[in-house]
Order: sequence, then C-alpha cells, then structure tokens
Amino acid sequence: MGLICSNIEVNYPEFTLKLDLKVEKGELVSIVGPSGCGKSTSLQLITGLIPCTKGSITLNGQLINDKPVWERNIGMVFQDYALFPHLNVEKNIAYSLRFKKLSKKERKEKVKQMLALVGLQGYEKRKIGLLSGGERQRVALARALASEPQLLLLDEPLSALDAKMRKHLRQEIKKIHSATGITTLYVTHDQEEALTISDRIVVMEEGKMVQFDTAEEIYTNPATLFAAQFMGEGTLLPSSMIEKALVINENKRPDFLAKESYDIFFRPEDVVLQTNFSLPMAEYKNHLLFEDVKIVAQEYQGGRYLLRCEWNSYPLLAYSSSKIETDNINLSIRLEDIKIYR
Amino acid sequence: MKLRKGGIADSGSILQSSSFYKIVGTPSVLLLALLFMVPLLFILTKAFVGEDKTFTLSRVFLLAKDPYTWRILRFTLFQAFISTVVSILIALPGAYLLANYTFLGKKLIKAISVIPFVLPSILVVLGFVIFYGNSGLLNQLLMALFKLEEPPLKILYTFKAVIAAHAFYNFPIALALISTFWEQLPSRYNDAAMTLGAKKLTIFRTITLPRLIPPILSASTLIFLFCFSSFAILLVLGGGPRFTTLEVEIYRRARMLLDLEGAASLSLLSIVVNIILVGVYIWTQRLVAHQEEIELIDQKRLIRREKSVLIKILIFIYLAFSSLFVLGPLGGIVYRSFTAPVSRGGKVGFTLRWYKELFGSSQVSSSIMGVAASALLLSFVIAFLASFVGLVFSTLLSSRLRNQKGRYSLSLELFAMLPMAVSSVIIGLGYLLISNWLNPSHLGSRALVVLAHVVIISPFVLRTVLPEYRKISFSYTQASLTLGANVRQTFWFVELPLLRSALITAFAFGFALSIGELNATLTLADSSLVTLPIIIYRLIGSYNFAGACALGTILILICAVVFFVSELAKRGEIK
Amino acid sequence: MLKRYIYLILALFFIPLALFGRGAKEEPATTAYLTVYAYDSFVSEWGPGPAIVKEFEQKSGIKVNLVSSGTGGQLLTRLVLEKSKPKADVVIGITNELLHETYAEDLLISYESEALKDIPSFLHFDPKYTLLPFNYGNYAFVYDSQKVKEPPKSFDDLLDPKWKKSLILIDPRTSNVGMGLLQWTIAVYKEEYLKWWEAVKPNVLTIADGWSSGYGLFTQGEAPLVISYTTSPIYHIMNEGTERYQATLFDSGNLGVIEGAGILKSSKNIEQAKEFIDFLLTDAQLEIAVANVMYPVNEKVELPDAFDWAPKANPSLFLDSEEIAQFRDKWLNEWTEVVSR
Repeated sequence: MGLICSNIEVNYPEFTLKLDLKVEKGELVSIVGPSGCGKSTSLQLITGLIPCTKGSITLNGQLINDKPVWERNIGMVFQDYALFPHLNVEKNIAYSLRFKKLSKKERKEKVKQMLALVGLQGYEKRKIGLLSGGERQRVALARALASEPQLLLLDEPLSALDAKMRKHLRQEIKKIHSATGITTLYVTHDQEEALTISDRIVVMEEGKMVQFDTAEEIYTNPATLFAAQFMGEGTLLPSSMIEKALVINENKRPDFLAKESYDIFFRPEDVVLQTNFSLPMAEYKNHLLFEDVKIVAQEYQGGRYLLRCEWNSYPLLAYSSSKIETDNINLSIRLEDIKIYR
Repeated sequence: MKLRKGGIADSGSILQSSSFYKIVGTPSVLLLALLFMVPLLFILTKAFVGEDKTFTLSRVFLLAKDPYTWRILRFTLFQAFISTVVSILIALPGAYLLANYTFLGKKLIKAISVIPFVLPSILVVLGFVIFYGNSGLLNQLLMALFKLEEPPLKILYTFKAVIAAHAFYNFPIALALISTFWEQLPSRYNDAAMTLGAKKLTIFRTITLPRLIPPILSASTLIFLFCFSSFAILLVLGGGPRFTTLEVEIYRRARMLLDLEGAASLSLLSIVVNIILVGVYIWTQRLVAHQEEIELIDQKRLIRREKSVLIKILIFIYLAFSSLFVLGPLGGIVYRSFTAPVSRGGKVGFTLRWYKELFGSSQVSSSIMGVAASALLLSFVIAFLASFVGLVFSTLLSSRLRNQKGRYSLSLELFAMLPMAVSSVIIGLGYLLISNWLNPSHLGSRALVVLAHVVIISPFVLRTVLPEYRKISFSYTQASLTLGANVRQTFWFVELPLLRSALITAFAFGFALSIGELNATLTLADSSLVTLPIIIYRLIGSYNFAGACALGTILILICAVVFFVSELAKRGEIK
Repeated sequence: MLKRYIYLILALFFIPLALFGRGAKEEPATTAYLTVYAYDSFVSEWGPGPAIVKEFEQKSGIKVNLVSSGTGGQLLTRLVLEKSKPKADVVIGITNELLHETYAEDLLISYESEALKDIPSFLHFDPKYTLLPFNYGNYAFVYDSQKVKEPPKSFDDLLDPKWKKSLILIDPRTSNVGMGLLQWTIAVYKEEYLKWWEAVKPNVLTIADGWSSGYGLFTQGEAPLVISYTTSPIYHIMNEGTERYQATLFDSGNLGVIEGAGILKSSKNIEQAKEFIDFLLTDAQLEIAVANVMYPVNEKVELPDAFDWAPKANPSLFLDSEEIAQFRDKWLNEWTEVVSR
C-alpha cells in the first residue's frame, strides 16, 4: 500500500529523472537535494501535472498514471500557496468539495473541520489578500486536505516564511500529519526541516535518487558528498592533501589510498583535539594528523564550541567542549571515520 | 524566496495535450479564416494578375523597382516613426504620474483618453480643425485674450500638425500600457539603489527605464502600425500630397482608378511590412509577459500618496496639457454641434436645432423615433453583440495560446492580429466579395455585419485579454487541477474570474470600436441597416457638418460612459 | 457569485438579439423586386433615394431594394467584382468620366427611354445610351462673402498673391471632386495645366482628401475659398437661411459632371428596370435635384426659388471620356510629382 513509483523515467535536457520508491502508508518522506535536481518535478509527475510515459505509479494499490490530474485525489501545497485571490478562505478550502458533489451543509461542515485542524477557526469569511504568510500556508494545507486525499504533496511549503514561523509551522505540519495519518511527500531544501519531521528522507541529485533512508542512517552513512553535506557540517578535503597528513600505524593500508583522485569528508564530532603539543597524538589506529591548525573562529552552540579552523588554507571543523585559549592546535581523525567520495 | 520559472505550459505538460484548448480555440480562428483570410487572399491574388489575365510576378517586380514606391514607403515609415516617438515621449511623464500617485480624476483621464482612438477619423480631423484651426476655438480665445489681429497659432496644414494629430490619437495607448506595467514594478530594486546612495534621476535612468523597455516597445509597435496606415489626418492636416503614404496610393488605385491589381500589389507590400511589425509586437508582448512571470509574487508596489509641491504642480501641468490636447478637439466637436447660423449674414449662435432635427421625427424615416435614434439603438445592439461574441472568441483563443505552446502558437497569434495589419480599403473590398458570394438574406446580412465587426475588434480584444491571461500564475491552474477540477472547470472557476478586470476592459474597448466602425458596415449593410457612424458619414457628405458633430458628440458621450462604467465595474476586483 | 452574473449576461444578450431580429424585414414575396445600386449619399436619409423609392413602389407596385455602394468608381468596381454572381438590376451614379471604362466592362444594356426627349442634348453623354443622364452639376469655387468681396473669375485670378493660403483644394487621387478640379484645369489649360498647379501652391491652405473634409474646413472658416459645386449655396439658403456662401463662375467655363444610370445586362427584370429608369428621369427629378442639391436633367422640372442662388455655368466644359480613360493615370502621376515637390 502507500505510494509506489516504479521505473519512472523522464528525459530533460539537463538530466534524466529516475524515480523508484516505495512510501509506506502514513509515512512522511522528505525529498531533499540541490536546486534544480528534480524534486519539484518529481512531485509534478506524481500528481500528473507532467505526464509520465515510462514506469508506473501506484497509490494504495491502484494504478494512477493513466488517470488525469483531477481524478487522482492527490492533495498538493504549492510553494506560492496558489490560494485563489478571488475567493475567500471558506471558498478556497471548499473548492475541491464542489467537484465531489457534497451538499452545501456538508461543505460548510468540512470547512469548519479543516480550519480547526490547522488552527484557524473562524477564518471562513476572511479575504486571502489580508492573511499573513503563516495563515496562508495553513489555509493552503486545509484546502489540500479538504477532500481527504490519499496522498499529500508539499513543495517547499515553508520557504517563504521567516525562521521563527518556519519552526512553528513545521511542528504544526507534523501534528496535522499525525492527526490525519496521510501519506506525505515533502520537498525541502532545509536540512533541519527534513531531519525533524521526516520518517525517511530521499536525497536527490541530478534527477536520481542517491539515497532513501532514515535521517540517522543518512547522517552516519551518507551515500554521496551532497548527502553528507546536507545532513550536517563537516570537513571536505581533496585526496591530494592526504599524503601530508597520513599516519599509518596499523599493518593494513586502506584500499582507497590507491585510488586516483577523490574527496574525503568527516564530521567535526569525530575529530580529536590535541592542545598540548609536547605530547604525541594518542592515536594508534590509522589516522590523519593535521598539525599546526590555525583556529579562525569559535562558535558557541550551547554546550560545545564549533571550531572553525584552517589547515593549508583548507577549512577544518571540529568540536570542543570548552573554549580553546591557544591560536593553534593539532587535530586528528581516524581513517575509519572518514567517508570517501569520488 | 525562490524564483519560479515559467510553469507547466512547457513541453511535456498535461495542458499541452488537452483537447479542450484545441477545441475552444477554433471558432475564433475559423471566423478569421472565413471572414478575413479568404477574401483577403482573393484580393491579393490580383497582385499577380498580368495584363493578359495570367499569373505573373511582373507587377510585383515592377513595383519593387519603382523608386516612387520606395519613396512613399520611406516617408510612410518616417512619419510613423516620428509620430510614435512623440507619442511615447508625451505619454511617459503621464505614465509616471499615473503609476506612482493617486489623484483626483485619475480614472476619468484613463477613460476619456481612449475616446479619440475610437472615433471615425473624419471626425477627429474635423475636431482638430475646429479647435486648432486658423479660425479655430483656440485661436479665437487667444485673439480675444490678447487683443490680436491675426491668429497666433498657425500650426495646421504642416507636418507638425500631422504628428500632433497622430500623437493625440495614440498617446493614450502608450499611457495606458506603460502606466499599467509601471504600476506593477516592484520597488525593491529602486529602494536598494537608494540605500546605496543613487540619486533619483540615476535610478530612473539605470534601473527603471531598462525595465520599462518591453511595454514601451509594445506600445510603440502598436502606435506605429496605426500611423503607418493613417490616411485622412495626413492629407487634410498635412496640407497636401507631399505627405503621401502607402495607404493613399492604395486608396487611389482601388477607389479611383479601378486598378484593383495595382491596389493589390501595393497592398501586398504594405501587408508584408505590417506583418513584420505585428511579429515584432507579439515578440515584445512575450518579453513583457516573461519578465512579469519572474517577478516575485506578493510584492505590490505601493502607490505613493504623499505628493510634494513639485509633484502637484507637475500633475496639474500634465493634466492641463493633456486635457487641452485631448479634450480640445473633442470639445470642438461638441461646440460645433450646438452652433448654427442665426442670421442671413451667417453669424453663429447657440442652438439645439441639430439635435432636434436628428432625434425628432422625420418624414422620410418610417420609425416613430427620429432617424438618429433608431441608428443609435442599432449601433448599440450591434456593438453589444459584436463585443460579446468577440470577447468570447478571443478569450477562448487566449486560453489556447496561454496554455499550449507549440510551433503553431506564434503563427496563430500572428494570424489573429492580422486584421490590424491590412488597409481598410482592402478589407472593404474583401467584404464586398464575401457579401456577394454569400448572398445573405436580410437577417443574414445583419449577422454578417456583426461578424465583420467581430473580426475587426478581435485583435484589440485579444491584445487586451491575452497579456493579462499570461500574467496569471500557472500555480493557480495547477492547484485547481490537483483539487479535482478538470481543464474546462479550471478555466471557468479559476482563470475566468481572475481575468475579470481584463474582460471588462476588453469588452468596453471592443464596444467602443464597434460603435465607431464605418468602413465594413458601409460595405456590408443594405439600406435598412444604418448605424451611427454611417449617419455621421452621410451628414458630412451632405453639407450638414453641424449635424455630424451632434452625432459625434453622442458617440463621444457613449464611449465615455462605457469606459467609465467599465472602470467602476473593475473596482470590486481583487488582485 | 458567477452564477448571478450569468443570468444577467444572458438577459443582456437576448434582449438585443430579439430587438435585432425584429428590425430585420421579411423577405419579399413573389412580387417583382428590383435591386438598385446607388452611391451612398443617394441612398442616405438625406439623399433622394428613400423618398423616390417609396413613391415608385406606390406608383408601380414594384418593390425596390436600394443598396449603397460607395461612390461612382466604387459602383463600377462592385459590379465588376460581382460579375460572376450579379445581383443588381439597375445602377445609379456612374458619371460621364467613367464612360469609357463602363464600355470596357460591357455590363449594361442600351435603352433609349421616352424621357430622353425632355433632356437637352449636351447631357446625352453616352451615344450608346447604356448610361442615361439623370442628374448634373458644375464644379465651381465657393467663397465666403463675408471675407471675399471680389470673387475670382478665372484660374489665373486664383494665382494672385492676395489669395495667399486662402484656397482649399481637393486631392484628385482620393476624391471625385478633386479629380473634377484636375480635369477642369486640363480643360482650360490643356498641356500647360501643370504650370497652374505649380504656381498656385503658395495660395493653397491645404489639399484635402475629399469634398467632406474640404468643405468642412471651409465652413469652419479656415479659408475663404473652396472647390465645390455651383449649387452649393442653395443648401445654405434652404437649410440655414444664410446667403453667406456664394459660388463664382469662371469666364472660360466650369467643368460639368453628369451622373448616369443604367440597366444591367444580367438583370432578370429588364422591363421593371426600364420602368424605374423612366421614373427616375421624370417624376423623380425634382426630389433628386433638391436632395442632391444638383440640377435635374429634365427641362420640364420647375425648380424652387432657392435654386436661383446658384449661378448657371456658361459654358459647361467636358473632357472626352476616352481621353480621360487613357490619360487619367498619367495625369495623376504628373500632378503628384509637381504638387509634392
């Protein structure tokens, strides 16, 4: 059940979009990725706004790719909300209901229900033009949900709002999702958003799904450099710099060193600090040792400091539980903690 | 906030394959094809008929080699160009004021300023002469004020007068187009520049002006087209054949010399030039639409209400100037309608005589009301029907053009605008052919007149509706589809209501055009079908200029009312 | 909300439609039915058409469908365009200068009406009688007697510097009257006519596109002299009660213009058409003269007193129609060349 996209393939001049995913019924899956990678296009394919010639889309057991947009009963919230300016809040929300042949009384009832769901009770007669950003977003949501769709698609719904509103509404959306139990796909470029509300995350790059997993899994084992950088901060170094810092203690030399050129990436929390230069690095596994790293800035993050450092003009990131008094430190990272990307 | 690109009317969208648009777009195209293209082509083929009635290109070649042809073509282009530039220059300050300030009489100005455009040109010429002529009202006023012997302003019968008349006719279009666009320019670029220390004039020059180029271009091509086929104004107000244009020569051959072949070949040349212009116009329209698509939504320019003293003075000056310019000639027509010789010597005095004659009973007419009254009613009815049908057809065609891109859409747009590019003399001949071929009954010929009006007003109605339609964000259409409405329902419940303002304007415009239409009606109508412009034309042709002015006044009044009402009707709209 | 508008719009739509349809007359029954093409001012309410048609229908029982078709040249054009599907029985308004072209098109029958005996021979411009004269006039310069005390008596007079910027002339390329003026100068000056046009330039206020604009400018007071007809003053006497505008005769004569009517070969109602022509040349003459403000051809017609105000042209000049047909284009080109300089 849920949403199944099988072997969807659409050709564009920039890339070929390939979709192959299974979303469980009631799941909230985020789609993240760089600009122009095909996230919104994927949504449009699923709704049918873009016709799909290859592959199939199944929703709750029913094949829907032959159905026209208006018969798929998929709710969608657009980036600009697209609330009809010539209708008031009530009429906007009730829009889909008029095609479902509900009586006037039933429509009114449903609208009231929806407004309660999004926390905008009493807003029926308000004009769209007078609503705030957050209110509009919620009306858009109410409108999409009014006809009880089987799938809800949200295309960067919060990107037009300020940070505080975003945080607040993010929770609202999560709450509504829990309340309705509706299968949801959520496109965003905001990492925090994706991490906090999703059950699973799809990472897209150039039209391909490069990873589809839980946030934790993607964080610990990111499939691509983009995925890695999306999920959190880290240090990125080209392979050419490895030799300088390489320290081999164990017998085995890892295979990746033989490769031609690649990028290495590691998280600040895996970085070990050494402030006392008189002692050698307490590291007996294969690792990279960065000596005489200059500390450029120390950002307090509530409980720890993020150290922004520089090594051979490359930025390095590390955490420290307390403020470092010296200007320079030594850093090391185990080879087993670094991710290799070609 | 992220910028959005175009939308789903790129290739590969659901709307592309929808049959709804293809179907609804057809009636307009069919009508155009039958009532316009076919007769036009028939007439144009005469350009290729040789002396011995066989097909030949020699006529066209001869024409192309004739230096006289090129001379008049050059002049035609020249005067159209100058007229256009002057019209734009006059319109710009007004556009600035209209776009950035609210002031009393703003809506009225907009409404009134389109009237000259819609009057029969003979009346415009008359109005000009009555007001600006050597013995005109303006000179009379100045002579009385300053106790002069000779009229101080001898501006008519010169090239300058022609340009001025063209500007009078056309600057309102530029005013409307540019100010509407300017109104909607987001001000943040200007604000940003101001914080960087740029002076107001610099801001205008470097930021605002470049962004105004698309509407300026599209207004320019439109005005250029009109001035290109200008006729009466040029000859009468210019002073003579020095200012011959292509249209005059076409007229001469078709009407006077019975040289249809010659008229057709000249017409061919004129049409080719005009098609290029129309093509440019459509291209500039798309530029405008594209630029507006990538504007951020939710950003509306605030109309500055605070007016400095300087601005107030400027507004006053501009208002005074444009009133004089526009209302002067119109006022002249109104004035003439109330005067008549009151003594044997010929002195003039105030009188309602002309109105009484036209609207009182006449022994000739069989209806109880006067001749003019029944003509008025008929004109009204025809205009209403024509603008309604025209609006429906053009809106449907617009939905096709906006929602479906393809290799045909550009040629379709060009096709729909063609009636604007063809000389009215040739169109008249074309209609002659149709009416003969169809041989309609009484009711049929009336229907034919209405349809001919539809053809004539369609380019203008289309040009009003289509750009507005293109501005409607595709997300509305998309949202409606996802909410369960099919293509047809989306058109009816979402797109049409959002077009309300444009539809009202287009209707008013089409109405005014139809009510002032002369040429086609004259050709197609049988003797029972007499419209207001026909009566004006006949009055002028039978010495009765004052009577013509009286009816002209009625026409002006009707147009003003229609526009004013349409502006009021738009007030309830939401952006 | 839209629903309310729909009803309103539909109502607004159907009411005019109903009015429209009601206005359309019924198709006539099986009685004889003549289609008459005439020039527009003939057909207009202020022209002779409606009145004489009514009279004719009452008198003869033949129904007439009067159709407006522009001016002289356009009438002929229309007949030519309709050759394959001719609709007209009678054509009214082809002038003498188009005789040659009319012959060339060969559309009319020859008819020597009884009424011709009352028409002076100088008006019988068509020896074949395919076009019968029914109306005529003379071109003349009309002047504003308030401003002009000594009216010009010849074309040479018009060259006098005292008339600087005082003449309103008309373009022969776009107007019959303009063409009339051109031909008049040719009739007077023969090959030297262009010299006059060159010399008169400083005295010309403007060359209007048609009689309507030209005369309109004149009555507006823009200039005291305009090319028009000898009969123009009659209108002002009859309708405005003023003697202000007068016509002046030239010593060398004024160009005449004769309007003709003819019966189409293709007509299915030749007999009725003949009856109509006869009527046109007899009973209708007075109405035509008064409404057109031109002269009737029928000598027996008694004209109202107002017509005394129009000077009788002497002589009435005419150019040969074959000559006109041959040189018209050349004249226009030459004229344009000289006057545009």
